[in-house]
Amino acid sequence: MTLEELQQRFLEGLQHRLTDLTQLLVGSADPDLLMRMFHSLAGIGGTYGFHGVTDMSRSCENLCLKATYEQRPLTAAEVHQLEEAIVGIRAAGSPDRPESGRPVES
Amino acid sequence: MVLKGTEMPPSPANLPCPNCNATIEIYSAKWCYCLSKNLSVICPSCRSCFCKLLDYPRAADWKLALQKLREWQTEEKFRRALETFPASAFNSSTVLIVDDDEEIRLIAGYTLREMGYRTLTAADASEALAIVVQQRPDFVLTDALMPKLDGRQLCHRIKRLDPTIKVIVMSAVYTKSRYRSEAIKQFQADDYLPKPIDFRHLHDVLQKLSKRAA
Repeated sequence: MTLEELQQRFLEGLQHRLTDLTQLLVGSADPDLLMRMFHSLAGIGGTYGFHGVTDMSRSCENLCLKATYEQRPLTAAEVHQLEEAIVGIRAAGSPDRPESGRPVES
Repeated sequence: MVLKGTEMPPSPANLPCPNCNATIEIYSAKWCYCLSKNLSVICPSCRSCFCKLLDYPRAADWKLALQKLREWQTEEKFRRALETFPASAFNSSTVLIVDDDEEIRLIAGYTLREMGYRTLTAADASEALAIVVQQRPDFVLTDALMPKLDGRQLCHRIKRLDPTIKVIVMSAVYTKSRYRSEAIKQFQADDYLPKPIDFRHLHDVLQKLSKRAA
């Protein structure tokens, strides 16, 4: 596989991971499981060159880590934050992202 | 020349450089490298960076531009890493990549092969130990946290089995450089890499360890 094919494969896998994360959030919202999933994403994203994915995933991981450490479920506000972050991660790894350094024109 | 408020610059946006007065086409100019909080451009003529001068709103669109810049920098790192170390330099060495994430095994395997290494992969520590016993790789690049037997136990067992095998541990938990020496000590590893993996850094580490072994 070429580097481009590997990156494309990562991006497709990312969408599946984010779907799983969303389903988990509306379901059990287990902070420990979510933390592991975001942790994995944080390590992979930047390795493939998607540092936006890593930055946002790390923030989510820390948020879940706090809840795990305090041995409590995620609050509604935290779940909402994570949902918003997932939208951001999806955008950061979107195949439709701009191909040049230009901002997206509205 | 300061753009303030919430309005986006017109497209295409031509601005005169305050330093040399050359015309800067904002959207096609190179993004600044300093990554300050205000995204800005570099004058194609005098190379001045205008982070302090241009105050664009930090809308989501501009965040994507920052991400794109970082991606470009990563691609540059890949390219420079591969250029720096010719494929023939290490073609006799074998690296075993151990990570429960297939995505990491794939990209690390690809990059190391491009560098000229032979690669082996294992999805967990048990599989890795079996490969170490059978094939005695020169290097083991292992994740710190894995299900069942974790990276620390794997490192200890490899070193007991064959202390000449160089072990590099990688982790997305201890990402700050100040944890490096402690992580090396705890894992009995030869070196430590934070995740996300910087492949140029990995090159440097492999080169250093190769020289030490020689």
